[in-house]
Amino acid sequence: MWPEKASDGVGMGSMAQKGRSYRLWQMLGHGAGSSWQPILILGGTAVLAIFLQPILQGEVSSGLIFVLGITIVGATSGLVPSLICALAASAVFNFFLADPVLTFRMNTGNDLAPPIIFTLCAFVSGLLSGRLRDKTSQLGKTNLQLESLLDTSRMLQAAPDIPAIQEVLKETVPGRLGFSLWLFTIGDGRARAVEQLADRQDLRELADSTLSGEAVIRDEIGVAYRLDGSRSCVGALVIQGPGDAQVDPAFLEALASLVGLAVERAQFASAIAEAEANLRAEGFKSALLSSVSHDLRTPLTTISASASSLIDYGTRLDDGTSRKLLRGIVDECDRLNRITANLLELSRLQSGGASLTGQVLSVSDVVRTVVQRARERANGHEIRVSPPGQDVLVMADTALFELALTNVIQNAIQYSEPGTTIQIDARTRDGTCLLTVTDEGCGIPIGEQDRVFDRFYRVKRDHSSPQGSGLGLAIAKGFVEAFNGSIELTSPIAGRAGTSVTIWLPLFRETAP
Amino acid sequence: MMAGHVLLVDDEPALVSVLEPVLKAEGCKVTVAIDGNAAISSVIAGDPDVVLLDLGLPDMDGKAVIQTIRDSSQVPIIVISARHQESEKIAALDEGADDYVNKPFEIGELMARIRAAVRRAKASEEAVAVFEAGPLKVDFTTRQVEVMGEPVKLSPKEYLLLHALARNAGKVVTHKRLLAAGWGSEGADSQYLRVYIGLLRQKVEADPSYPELVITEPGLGYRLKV
Repeated sequence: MWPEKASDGVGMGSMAQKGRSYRLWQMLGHGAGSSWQPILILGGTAVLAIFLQPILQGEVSSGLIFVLGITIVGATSGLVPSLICALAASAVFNFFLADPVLTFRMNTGNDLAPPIIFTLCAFVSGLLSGRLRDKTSQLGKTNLQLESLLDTSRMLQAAPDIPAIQEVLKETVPGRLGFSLWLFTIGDGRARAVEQLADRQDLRELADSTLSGEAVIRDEIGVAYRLDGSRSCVGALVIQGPGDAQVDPAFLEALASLVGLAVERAQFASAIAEAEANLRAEGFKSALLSSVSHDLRTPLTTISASASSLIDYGTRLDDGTSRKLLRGIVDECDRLNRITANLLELSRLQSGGASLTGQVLSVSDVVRTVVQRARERANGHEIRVSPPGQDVLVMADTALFELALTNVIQNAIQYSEPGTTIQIDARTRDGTCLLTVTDEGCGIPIGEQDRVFDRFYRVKRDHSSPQGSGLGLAIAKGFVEAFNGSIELTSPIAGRAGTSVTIWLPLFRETAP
Repeated sequence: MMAGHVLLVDDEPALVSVLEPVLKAEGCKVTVAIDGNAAISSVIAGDPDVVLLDLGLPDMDGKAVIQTIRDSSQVPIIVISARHQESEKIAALDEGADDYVNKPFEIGELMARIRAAVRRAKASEEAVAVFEAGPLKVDFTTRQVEVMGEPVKLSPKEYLLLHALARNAGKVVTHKRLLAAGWGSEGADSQYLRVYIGLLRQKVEADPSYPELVITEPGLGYRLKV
């Protein structure tokens, strides 16, 4: 379900993503200890300034130390903390450092200038460094969001189908931060969850309301985003945060639009796959129809020509010829019947295992039934059977087993000279039943041996031979494979001409009741 | 009774074993060929009076067989095929086949087609000057056309079409060939052909809505009934 390639892509992306999502988490204001940082810095600089004041012998130098502290706070914590620090520093400067010391009171004249200038400097440096830091932080955040979206987009592109998209969502930043992301597609005009929701009916209703209503709906249970593809709405995405956690709404909206496109692409891809499957089925049907119309008409032609000849020329034909024509009608009716049976069984095999019923069959019984019927059709061929020592049981479908064996024996009759022998052996080996049909016929060219099991494939022959439908061996193969067996063909057989077809079927094992 | 030499080309033994004795009962000499190459060499060696050809042969395409036979012989060829597509029939007729019989067929129909083909071949050998079929009489030398003894005036195009049909009486003449006969170009609009066949029927048929002489072969062309 999750192809190797796609999972690789996700794995590689997730390494980078992990670090990035943590940084984003921090930048969103969830980093621990960040509110204490400005106080510590300011406290440090205040202590430094006060203690160094006797050594530096001047309030100007101490003031510069304060300005340094405010700049650092601005650069690390942003505009607001730096302005607060500036205010605090101004108070500390006035109280501890500016004359008269240890009082906020101001003397007149010259004493007034240093605190005012200091306050001005503190505010301006706080303002500048804080704003710069905020801008940089904003840029970094945007950058991270973009990179994160890019990663997500890459993973979504690798997702082959809609369930894979749901998996990708867990790998996105919000998914890694503990958010639940529920993907909904549209079925029968309503939202349909991609993953089993169990008892979360409320989520489905939220998704439903965004399909018909606004593109984004915020609710106490979560936020629902309508997923719009390039042509129409393709589903909904419901995001539920852990507790009061927040992610930038713009980021989530961008994520929703990416997911929308990915869902649409996956839907297109599955529509194309379906269309291709239909096309193949159509091709098969038309090949079948043209083959069937030809195959049915061939025996019908003989029947029609024979019957009308007997009517028109009855008295003018000698007894031998009349009997031959009548025999031909019976034979061709039998052939029509076999073609019909083949078609029916082919459609059963085609429709999959649903209509195939396995039952315990005795191989000798099936062989006896089939050989009895084949002997009636045999054109002077001798059909010899060597039965297995004990009764061999297999699990198979009766009609299909008989048909598969009939087809193999029929081929042996058709493609070998009258008077030759057709040998049928049933044996057991290593828990399987081997059923071998060997003829002394013309054999099959080595290059064509693999293809004789293909539907509608007929070996091209340079001398007269009745043409089959090209379905017989295909059905035999379909049958044995449906019952976990196999079929193989050997030709020519060592030392002489001829073909040998072996059907392997697993032996039926009685399970303890 | 028809006597003559029939070359039967079919790879289906069951059908061959029906047609062979029946054709012999008709007094024909029968040669059987089971593939295209055997058919071609039998035409050269045996000089048959008519060829019954199945299009689906094991060694080569039936149309190629027609083409090769036509290089050396004008023997009538009747195609017998289980492929019923119009395009197949047209291609076979255009290659030079004389007639087309769909499988399955009744023996009477096949015999009638064989007789018509043999008669036509004999007639063309004698290069008849006058064609007669039922009420219709066409004099190829004077271009006189009579129906029930009454002279009929045909336009030049109508005469050309009737001439082409009468020269191949009993046999399907494809749209392409009729267009070539009437308009000198195979690619001419077949709509014209329909119109002129209609005009011709007005003049030669007793009841033009139920034509009994100029028969439509749907999708293929027209046939002048003998």
